Amino acid sequence: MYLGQKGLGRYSFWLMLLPALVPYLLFKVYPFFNSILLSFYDWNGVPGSPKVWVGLENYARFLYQPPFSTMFWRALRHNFVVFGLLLMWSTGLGTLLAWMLTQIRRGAGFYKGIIFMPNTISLAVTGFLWSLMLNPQFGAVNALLRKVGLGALAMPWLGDSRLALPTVIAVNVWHGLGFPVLIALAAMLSVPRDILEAAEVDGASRFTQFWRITFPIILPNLINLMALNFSGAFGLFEIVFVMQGAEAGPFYSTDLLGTLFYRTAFGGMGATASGMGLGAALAVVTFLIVIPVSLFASRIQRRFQVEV
Amino acid sequence: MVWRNPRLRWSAIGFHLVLGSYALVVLFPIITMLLGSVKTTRDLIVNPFGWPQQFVWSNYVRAWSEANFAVYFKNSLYVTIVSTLAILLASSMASFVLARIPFRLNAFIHGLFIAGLVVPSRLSIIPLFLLIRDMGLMNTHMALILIYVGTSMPFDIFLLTTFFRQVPNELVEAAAVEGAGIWTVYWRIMMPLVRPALATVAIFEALGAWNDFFFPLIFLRDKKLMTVPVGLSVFFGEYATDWPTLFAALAISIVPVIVMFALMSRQFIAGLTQGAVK
Amino acid sequence: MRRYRLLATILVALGLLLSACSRPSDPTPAQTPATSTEPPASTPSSQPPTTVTVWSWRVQDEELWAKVQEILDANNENITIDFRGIKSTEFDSVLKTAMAGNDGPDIFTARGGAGTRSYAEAGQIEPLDSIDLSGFDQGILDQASYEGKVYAVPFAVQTLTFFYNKQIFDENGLQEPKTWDELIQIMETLKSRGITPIAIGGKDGYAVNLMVDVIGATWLGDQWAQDAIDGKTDFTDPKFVDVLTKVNALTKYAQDGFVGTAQRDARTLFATGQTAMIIDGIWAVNTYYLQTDPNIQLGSFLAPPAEEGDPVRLYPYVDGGYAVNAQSKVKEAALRVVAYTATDEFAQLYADLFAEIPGNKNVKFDAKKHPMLAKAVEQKNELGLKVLFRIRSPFDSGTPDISTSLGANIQGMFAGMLTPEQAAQAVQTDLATWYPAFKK
Repeated sequence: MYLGQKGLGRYSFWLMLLPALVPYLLFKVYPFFNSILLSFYDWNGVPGSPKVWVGLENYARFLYQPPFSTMFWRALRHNFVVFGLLLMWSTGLGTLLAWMLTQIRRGAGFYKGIIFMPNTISLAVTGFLWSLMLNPQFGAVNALLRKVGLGALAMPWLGDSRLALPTVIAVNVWHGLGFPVLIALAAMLSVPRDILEAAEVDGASRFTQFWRITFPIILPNLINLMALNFSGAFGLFEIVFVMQGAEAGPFYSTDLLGTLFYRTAFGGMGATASGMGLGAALAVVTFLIVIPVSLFASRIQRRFQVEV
Repeated sequence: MVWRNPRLRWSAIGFHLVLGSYALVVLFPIITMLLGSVKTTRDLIVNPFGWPQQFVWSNYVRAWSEANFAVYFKNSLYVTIVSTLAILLASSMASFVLARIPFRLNAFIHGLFIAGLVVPSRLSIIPLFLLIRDMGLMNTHMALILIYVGTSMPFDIFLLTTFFRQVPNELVEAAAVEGAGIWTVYWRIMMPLVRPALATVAIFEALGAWNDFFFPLIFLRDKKLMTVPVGLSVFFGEYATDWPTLFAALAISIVPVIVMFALMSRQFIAGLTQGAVK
Repeated sequence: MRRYRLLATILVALGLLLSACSRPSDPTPAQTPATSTEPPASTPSSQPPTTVTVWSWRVQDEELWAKVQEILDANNENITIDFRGIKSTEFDSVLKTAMAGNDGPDIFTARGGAGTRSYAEAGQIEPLDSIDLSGFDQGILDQASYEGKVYAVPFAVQTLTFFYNKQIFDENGLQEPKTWDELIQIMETLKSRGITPIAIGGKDGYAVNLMVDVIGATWLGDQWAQDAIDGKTDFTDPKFVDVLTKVNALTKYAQDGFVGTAQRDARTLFATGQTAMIIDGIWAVNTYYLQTDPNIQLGSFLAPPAEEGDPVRLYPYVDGGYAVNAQSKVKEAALRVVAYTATDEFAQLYADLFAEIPGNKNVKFDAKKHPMLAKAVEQKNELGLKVLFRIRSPFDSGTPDISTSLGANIQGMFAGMLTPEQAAQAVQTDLATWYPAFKK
């Protein structure tokens, strides 16, 4: 239409593309490829220090050379544990709450607002707030438990190696639950009423209605949520860093690929970082895990689409 | 959306119980924080979540001036506003071009942007760090702004192109007949029509910039330049045992956002949930 | 939509107004100005105004630098100190990131030993040849040196001991223990009377390490440490495992949920009289305990040995020194400031302010005002370890260093996931990956 303009005017649209294209190429595309390149070198990041080509050695270190490999596999295991927890507590619980919202007559808007509210707070700030709440001596959570006579349950939530990770994830869920609830809710509301009412008339229980009708229809959205749980689980960093420090204690029980990555690239307490090449290798490995799953999820999502 | 079956009354009570309990779980830390922020330290240790014995407002004053929170706040405001405006401009212009202007590299560039959706930005921090350092942008707000713009393009362009495509051709043709150039079509016709989508992008990105912790953590050194989330971590380091002041600082960080949310909840929810509508 | 735009504009304006209204933070004004002022190394006042940034993991140093600022002002130095205290657990990574980004502070506290050496080796800090270091013992300077040159001015020698609340001890008829069994007896007595015997900050790796240092000083000693350094023994040695077992034994007497308690909270418990003892460094006395309760009656003792009369030892180490960033844009001013920190006057100021042992030996201690400090100095001079085995030792300079490994493995031991033997073995395995004498 307007390409008919004469002279340079024809290409003025490039000018409109540049403000988006240049930062994107510079700060997203280039760093991505550079990470891959960097992962084949051994370098400590100090300008002027020698960069040594080591091929796949950084990868080897993570995969089977202790102490790096112990850390790597432990962190990876934790990431999968987190994924499992998120599936249950985020998608699972979120769907349940959303369903309940469709079943009550009044107050849905109110609950919706409250449930979603923590999502607007910074995740890091949430971590700070809850680290105070969960303090075993002075925190409100244990104080409340003691007050209602459940003092036996007043544990060192963030200090016990077995409890720390689920606790941190619980805080993460507190922060983000509003999102799956809203998505599931929107999906459920798109289910045509007449089908549900017809099933009701036929004597189907609420549960059957959900399982046979609602669930298949909202399945693509749930798959989407689960895919987000996966990439979320593998991208977690701030909340652990803020609540447990870069060392992800106690005894590395909250260590994830994100915190391991940070420590490798920037050093934790004790000031010994193992190198930027090594960190880049870790980043690439994480890419290799997350990207295929995201792609795969969007593909199978289409397969489950139900025509209504 | 509910059925009038009286038998469901009991279940409704059950549902309200569950939903209500969760609502309490959400509100518990917020209330504790607010109450704690106006107590004295001794009062807080003895009485973690009860009503304050006396109301002490000096904690807020301490957090705001002495502990630099005013500066953190100002910085967050600056970075958020500038980034959001820059993002809106860049992504809307690019989406417009990609959506409406046929040219040879269109599909390729569009695909390039979309591909970025599956790549987590923070993992590329090492080269980003080196790049920012070599550009001399360490410890500047510009570093943050540029990074926010660059990394938000995939999602925003993905969202906006759909909307730009929906604008009816007739409007554009009518304008072309009157001699309107690209810019006029973009600014006068397209933009007003995609306003809801722009609002969505604005809220999503503004909240993201305001709440971000990771990039300011890596790139900001000077306390005078820090944004609220990183400032809070410095604060927690400096005032570690002064719990009431910590709560006051948390309140300063959290309450404005909650208030905004309460006032504009529909827009917020729409903005933030666009993420999964892929 | 218009309504919201107006509201948003108002809120934004309000926010900007509020932030414009507040003053930037001033450092807390010092109480009394310093005594006689000795002019620093080179001529002042002809210099243009410069700001020198100082970073330290000692958040409490804010007051110290405010006093230094006063002295600089009194000498017309035209230098403004911009101090930033960073939490100890984050300090190293924040500093390292900043230095890697060419963005570091002009002066920073470099940890003694490896902390200083690593930056010196990378050429990131200046050798301090131009500064008068006559007030320092060679042994102290060695911990801040690399290849014969001094790279940081040591600011303190820290001592680690058991601290106890004299009042609680007196009320329960308890005396400082002379043997380990007596110590356990004391703990049992307190526990049976419903008093938490000892506060442990199990959440912080560095705090549990202090326990190993204190107990190990008496139970391992110089010879063992030297043997370990030479590779004649290692950390799987029964003597070291015994130290870990003892550390573990103490946890029975710690507060509930000690694994989740950060050291600062443990300090609060001790300072408010909720526990009778704590293992900590001398710096905590003035900075934490006396701040919380100025009237607290403190006592200290070293880890008791097996039999009465056996040697007891103290673990002393050079905390750190002031180093100058080689990339500093105000290097001359920074060097002058650091030169001042090497003076006797600064050392006295430091000792008076913090009741710690400064690096410079030309200091007088007021035994009445700082009884804990006087005792610490005496113990350091007479009973201090000459060879270190954990913090600031050769084992602290590689990756993974002993502090990181030990702290994490002890937490594993506390959680019941590792026995003391396994924890010791894990530490040994970690060290063996890089420590030359252990690589067999």
